[in-house]
Amino acid sequence: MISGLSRPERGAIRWRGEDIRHLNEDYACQLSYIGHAPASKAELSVRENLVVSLALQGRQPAAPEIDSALRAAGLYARRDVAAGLLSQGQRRRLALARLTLRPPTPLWILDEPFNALDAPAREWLSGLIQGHLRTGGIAIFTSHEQTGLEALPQQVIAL
Amino acid sequence: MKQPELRAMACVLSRDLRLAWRRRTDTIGALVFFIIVTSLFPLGLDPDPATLREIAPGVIWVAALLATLLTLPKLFAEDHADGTLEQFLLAGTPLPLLLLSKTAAHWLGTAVPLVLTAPLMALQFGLPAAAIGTLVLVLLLGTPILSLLGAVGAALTVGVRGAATLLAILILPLYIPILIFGAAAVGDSLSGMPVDGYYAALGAMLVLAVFLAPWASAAALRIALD
Repeated sequence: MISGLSRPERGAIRWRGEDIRHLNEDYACQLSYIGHAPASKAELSVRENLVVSLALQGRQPAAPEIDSALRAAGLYARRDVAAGLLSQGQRRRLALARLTLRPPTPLWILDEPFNALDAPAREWLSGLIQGHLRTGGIAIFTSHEQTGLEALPQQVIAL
Repeated sequence: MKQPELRAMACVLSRDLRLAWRRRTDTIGALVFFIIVTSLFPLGLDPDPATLREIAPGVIWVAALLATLLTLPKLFAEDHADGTLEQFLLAGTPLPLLLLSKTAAHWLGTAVPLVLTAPLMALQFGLPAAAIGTLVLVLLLGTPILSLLGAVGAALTVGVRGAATLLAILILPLYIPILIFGAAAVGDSLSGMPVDGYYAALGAMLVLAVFLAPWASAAALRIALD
């Protein structure tokens, strides 16, 4: 609902004082949403998938920027491999690689971002979220396990 | 239209064409279906040339229509399953523009091969060159409407169990005017009558579909995924 995929039956969700229903694409440009599914195509290469997801956001980063995002996600060596040949964890990292591009969107909504990640990747993601928060960004994420981010100033809703 | 929007549209178009090429079996499947269906009629009916010429426009149009319908359930289903559709809905580009690109890719990947094959199929029915020319032109005008209207149905039924059947029930009645105009144009061409009116009618339908169908598809997708 916060991402705008579903609409509230009552009330409104506001971004910087404005109802997100009226902001439409202007709100979408402020948002990075990583859902539960990887949002990558098995038949496209790692690099192609990243380029497509950025173009959907209306962004066209230069090749070095894409390479740098893939390096950060630990996928540079597999950049020309079809995404279908990646492990679950690598596909997750491919989705998360979008978060490393500059300029970052101020609002991150991440659905179970730590799923399928190994220890080094979890550490990388924790660092990414911490860095985002330090620069004044907002990160909203769900997790069913300890993330190592509990010490940060935040609001935790335990369900 | 702004440059990032055009960039996103071009990216979706090239992505879907690349996917269609890498999953060639889907495209080839629709084409083989079209060839088989159109070839069955001359084999199963009276081989009288006059009869074959008379039924040719209807048979080729119905086969093209069903071949298009065959590919529609997959238009959004895979994007829905792998989460790409969520990214479309949250893209910084208006959803109707992205869906227009997606539908264009569907038409290029599915219907254009049918249109290119149609003259060969028409030869089986003994259609003269002038009627074949008309057939190709009305298919070029009519098949994009099939893709555009089909996208609305595919969007409404995304994620629904038994989507293919529901889609056929929803969309086939909407295809009737295109079938009537398309087949009648070829029939009139065979009789030596003018066909400009059919071109104008199909052209007008195409313009309306290009402007309205992507917005309807976007609304249908938002309803289906809410």
